[in-house]
Amino acid sequence: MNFQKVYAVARREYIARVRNKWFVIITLLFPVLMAAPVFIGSLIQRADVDEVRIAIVDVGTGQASAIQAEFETIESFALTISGSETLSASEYESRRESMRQAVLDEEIDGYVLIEPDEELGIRGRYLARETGNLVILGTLENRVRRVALENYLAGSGLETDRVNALVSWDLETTTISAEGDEDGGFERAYFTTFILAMVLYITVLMAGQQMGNSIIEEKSSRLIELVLGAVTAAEFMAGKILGVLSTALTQLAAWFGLVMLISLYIMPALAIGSDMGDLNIMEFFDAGLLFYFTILFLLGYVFYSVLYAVAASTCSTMEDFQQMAFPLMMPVMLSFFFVFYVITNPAATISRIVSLFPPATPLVMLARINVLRPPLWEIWLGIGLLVLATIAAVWVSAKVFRFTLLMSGKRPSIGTMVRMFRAA
Amino acid sequence: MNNNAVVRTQKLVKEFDGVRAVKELDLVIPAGSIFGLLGPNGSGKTTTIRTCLGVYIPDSGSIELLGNSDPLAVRDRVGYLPEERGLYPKMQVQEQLAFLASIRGMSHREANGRAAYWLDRLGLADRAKSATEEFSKGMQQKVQFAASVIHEPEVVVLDEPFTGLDPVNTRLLKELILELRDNGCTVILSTHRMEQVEAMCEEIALIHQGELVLRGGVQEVRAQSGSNTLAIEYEGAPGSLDNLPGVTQVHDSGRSARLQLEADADTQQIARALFDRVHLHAFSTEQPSIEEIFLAHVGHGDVTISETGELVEEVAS
Repeated sequence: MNFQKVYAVARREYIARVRNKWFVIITLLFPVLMAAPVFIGSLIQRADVDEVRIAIVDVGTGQASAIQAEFETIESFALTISGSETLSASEYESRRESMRQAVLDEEIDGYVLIEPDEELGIRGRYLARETGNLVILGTLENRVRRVALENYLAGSGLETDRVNALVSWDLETTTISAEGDEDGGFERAYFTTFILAMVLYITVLMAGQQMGNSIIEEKSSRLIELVLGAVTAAEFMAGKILGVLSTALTQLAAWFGLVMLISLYIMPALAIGSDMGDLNIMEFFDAGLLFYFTILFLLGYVFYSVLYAVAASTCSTMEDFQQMAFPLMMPVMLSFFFVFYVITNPAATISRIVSLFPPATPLVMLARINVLRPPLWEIWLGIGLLVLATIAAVWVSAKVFRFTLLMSGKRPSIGTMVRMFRAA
Repeated sequence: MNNNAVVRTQKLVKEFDGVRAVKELDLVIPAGSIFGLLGPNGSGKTTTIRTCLGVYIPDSGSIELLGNSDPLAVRDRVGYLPEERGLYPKMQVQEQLAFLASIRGMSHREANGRAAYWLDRLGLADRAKSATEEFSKGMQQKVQFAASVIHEPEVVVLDEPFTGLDPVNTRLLKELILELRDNGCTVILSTHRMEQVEAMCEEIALIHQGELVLRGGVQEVRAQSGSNTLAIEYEGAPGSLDNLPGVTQVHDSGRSARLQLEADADTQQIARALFDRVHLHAFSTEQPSIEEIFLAHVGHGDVTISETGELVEEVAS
């Protein structure tokens, strides 16, 4: 093998990919998309409003002052209570239109209408120009509920606060592992597994698709004949894989850099995340996890790229390739869905078996490592099997390549492929 | 010039799904000349070339390329312009040339320098950074030619190099090919355009249905084929050259025509028939053109001349 030629092929592949506008878009956009739920969640919780001015209208419950007192303790946003009135039903009917006008004229932002309810005592309605802010709604609801609950419990000897606390009772979790016990495991594992699995899933599929595109391009433009006149099929293949791999590393490095940038500078600067209990993204991903992720990412990337390359080498058109690509996508998709099972059942026998099946190893083993770290031998058995499968794929592809690459027209049958393989 | 053969095949056989594309071909291509490899479409030319260059593995027989029995071992000393051409459409043209040079074993720096030189040579230096897809077909063709010789090969195989070129660029390419020869490079010209063969090649080989049917120097081949062609200039009604005695084929161009004769045809009798039918300006016996020789050897009604002067072998479906 002539390594200078391998390098030349790899270099061309790398430059062509990195310059591709979709590569740039995905590389820049992916971390942003991943961070979006955190951002949006945080923004919703911040209730970014200057001041909310409301009135309280009580139609026959007599709870106006109690509710006003509760509202006055609200701190999560600035609330001004412009007045509270107790009206009869007919009075309210006649005042209704003027209240509406007051809201429309922005004298007030809205009003809370309290009415008697046969079963629960109090029925409430918030009438306002904007009714979409979940923080405002949630807080108001919470306070009115307290008053209703207090009324109901009055004289029963039960304490409202304790009842309230019991209603929102939580089961706390501690993940016990050899490396040390850690509180609050499930949410963290779920979150990080989902993000990492998503990264693997999307990039592997995209890399495969790109590999296919570039080979089809070379085949359909007949470049392949020129290239194969100069390099061997093995050199060609090796160069392509190296090119694909260095693209993947570039992408990983870019993402890592962007995540650091976002979590260390941008999020603190926007004061985002402070509501999430001092969340620090980097704490979510420990070094061991990132180490295994990198290994599985690179292996999965190469493994699927080779499979896609073989599939593409037998096709002459994109349409042909799409048909061939579907069965290759299946294991990636299935293992992605299986990851959700693994998150809740990391030690189940089926999870263990599937994680050792090379096409599923990148995603499923990663999920297992993250949720409940398997014994070291199991991790490395999975990685070893994946390495073997990748070597086998490279070996088969190098043999089949010199025939399939120059083929045009009809796709070969499996029988023809086997014959070519034997002849090589 | 030396007398070494750059290509030597013995009983070369290449089959595709049981169909023999090349049948026990014995071919010797001498070094230091422009060699014409002729044959109609589908005759096995391209398969022969690909096999000789190591792109295909022969089913039987042997190949020697530049004295080496493994063509892949000498691939960096060989240039190849395939018939079905292509370049990376989105790649900058200079990078493209440099890439194609580097996979022929040139260092990255050297390749870049050669790419710049060739772009300058082809008058494309100011567009070195343009994507290849922005180029016209003719320009791409020239770039592709440059790609096949950029690493200064000892042998270059040009498969139909003139297809799609305008007269100006055809002349430029001819000059470049002659320059290659003058620099000691052996040029193998595979084509079915006979007028170019006559103009440029010193030796030819005719391949038909995977077999060698004729081989030799152009002049030698023409002389051997005898003086069985009549060239005439005339004025006359359409159809007036039909059914002349002893004439097997007529290539009528309107005011001039070339008549191919039976071996024992009586030229006096033909002349008398012509005087009766048309107003004759000129009348001479000539050696046949390569095209006519070609047709005589392979034309059994399944080879015709298309409007563009190309030989077309009708492939039985």
